[in-house]
Amino acid sequence: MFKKGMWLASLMMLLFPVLALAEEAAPTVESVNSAVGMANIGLNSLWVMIAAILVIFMQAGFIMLETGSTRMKNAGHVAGKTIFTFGLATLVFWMVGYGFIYGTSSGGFIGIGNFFFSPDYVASADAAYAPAIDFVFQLAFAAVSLAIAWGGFAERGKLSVYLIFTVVFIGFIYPVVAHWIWNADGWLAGLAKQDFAGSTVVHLTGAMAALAATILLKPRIGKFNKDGTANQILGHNQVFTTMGVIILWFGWFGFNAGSTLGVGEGFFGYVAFNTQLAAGAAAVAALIISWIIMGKADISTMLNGALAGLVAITASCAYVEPWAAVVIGLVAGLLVFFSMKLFEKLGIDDPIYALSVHGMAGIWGTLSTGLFATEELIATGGKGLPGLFYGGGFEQLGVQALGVFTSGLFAFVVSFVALYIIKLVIGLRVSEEEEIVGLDLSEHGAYGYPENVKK
Amino acid sequence: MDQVLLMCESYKEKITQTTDLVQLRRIRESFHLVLTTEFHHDDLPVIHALNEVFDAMIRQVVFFTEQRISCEPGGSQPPVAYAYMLFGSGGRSEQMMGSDQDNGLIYEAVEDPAKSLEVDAYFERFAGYLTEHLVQLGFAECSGRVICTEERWRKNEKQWYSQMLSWMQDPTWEYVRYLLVLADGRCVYGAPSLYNRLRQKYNQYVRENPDILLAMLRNTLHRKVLIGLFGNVIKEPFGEAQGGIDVKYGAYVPFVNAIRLLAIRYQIVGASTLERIQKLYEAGWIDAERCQTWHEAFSVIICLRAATYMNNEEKLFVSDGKLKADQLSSDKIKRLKSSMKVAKHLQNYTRKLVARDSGGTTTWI
Repeated sequence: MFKKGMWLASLMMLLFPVLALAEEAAPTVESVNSAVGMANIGLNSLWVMIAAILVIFMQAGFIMLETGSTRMKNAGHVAGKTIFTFGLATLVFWMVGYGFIYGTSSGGFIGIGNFFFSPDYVASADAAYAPAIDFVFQLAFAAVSLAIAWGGFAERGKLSVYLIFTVVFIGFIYPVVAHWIWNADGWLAGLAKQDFAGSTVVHLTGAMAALAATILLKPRIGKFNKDGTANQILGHNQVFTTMGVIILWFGWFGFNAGSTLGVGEGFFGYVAFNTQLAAGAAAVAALIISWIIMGKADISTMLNGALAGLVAITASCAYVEPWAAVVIGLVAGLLVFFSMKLFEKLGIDDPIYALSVHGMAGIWGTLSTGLFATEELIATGGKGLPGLFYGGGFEQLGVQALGVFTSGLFAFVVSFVALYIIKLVIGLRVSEEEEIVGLDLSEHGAYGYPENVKK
Repeated sequence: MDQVLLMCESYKEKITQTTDLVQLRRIRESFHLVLTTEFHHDDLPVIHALNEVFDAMIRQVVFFTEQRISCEPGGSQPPVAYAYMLFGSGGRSEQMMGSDQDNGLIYEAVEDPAKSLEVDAYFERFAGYLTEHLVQLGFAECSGRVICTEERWRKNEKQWYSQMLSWMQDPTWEYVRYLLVLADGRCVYGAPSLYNRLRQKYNQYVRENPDILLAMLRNTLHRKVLIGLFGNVIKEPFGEAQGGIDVKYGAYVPFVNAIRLLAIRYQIVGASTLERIQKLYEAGWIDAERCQTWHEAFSVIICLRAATYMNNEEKLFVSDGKLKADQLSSDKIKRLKSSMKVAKHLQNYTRKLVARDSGGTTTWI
């Protein structure tokens, strides 16, 4: 009997060594808090790192989306430029971009400090997660915004323009808007503008750069007829485009849910849930509206609808109830359809539909929190006031509108001026011959599909 | 109205006096000019006159073709009687200024095999010249290849009958299309009895095998009326006609198809859509109200279709069947919309009727 008892005790000690320690030193409140704090930092770091990787993976989505939506003769160029501009963006963001966002605020307009960012190796005890992870996560967002901007350049921009504009956009335009809204001392943050994961910061900013670019570049050859009617320039691979959308959708869980910047009590799950609802609703709404108006269920519109839903819910995912997420998605899906028609009517060539998907839906998404934000969710991890439909009156809606207007205007004007100067100095657009033969050949010397493009 | 008739008569007379294609082409050009400048070329009486004048022109071209062959070394007059057929809009007397060629030949069969080969050779040459002449006159070749240069549409009576029977016994999509084309046939030159006999056999087969109507229904309803879920008119999304309406395929063709099917079902003779509607009424298959509604709606559609005429493109007179955005007044849209709704109802009516008669279900169509 005694022998059996000894054997059991040894096994318990092996399995639960703390029992053995307990006899030596009782845990203090401090030691437990410290252990829990470490565990939290570890979990948060892990989650934000995973989210960063998901957002970086969205670049693959953009590659597929853009390449599929454009013509075969430009495929290698459209795909490849995403990689090298991401590389260049990384360097610029490291040198100045990150610092302009999160450095010490200078009048709420721009941050100063943290240039050539050199983070501590590990998180300090009072941090939520490791600083290097924050850099990677923020860089991924900046790179998404840049990828959106490229939509306006597609199929006719010179390669050198991509290089120069990356520096301007990542080095100045994006950081300024991000500083205004996401640096606690930014002037829009001071007004408690709600933009949870960046409908304005990331999507609208990118779209406004795309708008400036497409206006200055002028439409692609063959897009519009002399009488102003538009032709359809079909992308070369709808399967690529569709794959691009689902990759982006997948990555968006990092984008939105990751923006909780921590694990906490699992609130990121709710954010992901709202994200999914809005995207689904928007895809359905866009498909149905195209079916009703055009008589055919248009795949391209449906895909853009799904993306528009994701863009719209980006600002509001942490602020709204599930029914509101569905409404936000439905409206985004309808909006993107009419917006695509509108830009075409205005004679603006938007090859990847960036203006509609990221611009219009970005505006709608930002305004939507001014309508639907609830007090309880604001208390859970947000800021600002409840929306119009939750007794908050027009105040938050006004702040949202102000944020959209100022951020959009800033991004547009600076992009326009920068591109205008580039246009004067080196020109934005490839020659007519180069455009006709395709940018694969004119900019890179080899076709993306060497066997399939007619010489 | 009288003016239209006068103009029509004077052109027909001028046409019979021509001696070559160059003169005939000049007359066509002047005719188009007169129609577009002095008349509303998209009025019903004018459309009617236009078809009469075109028939006269085509007859003259056939006559020139006969002459050309007879003047060639070793040439001759046609060795046997034949029927020069118009199909499509020509067959239905619904040609527009921009209509293309849809035609065929039926000629008498001869017993002697050697002679038969000679006759075949004659009509092959005949078809080649005729098509060439029509192109010179500005009629584009049919993109659907319903044209007498194709062997399928140029046969002796016996061959025609066995071909028709083979189509009917194997009612696949393409063959049913041919059968529907054949239903719109009209002899404009030669011996109509050749076509009439063929058509009697056609009707007899349909009477004895009403199931073929289901196959025809599938083919017929394949063109949708461009009316959306909420009764909105579906406009052209892209291209030069952006914002315009595809009157031809979105309204005219669905309407014609449905009425044609009813005509086949009820064995109505006569190929023009308005004539068919009238005869359906006279035979008691539809009531006066329905007859009038369909008549009015189709008149609007055919007139607006006539308005889609475009100009001389590479010496051919063409139309893409689409009303451009700047041609669309709100009144036109309103009239077209209500006519298109009638077309949609007509499609449903036809679908239900044929399905019920055949005891089949067409819910999947």
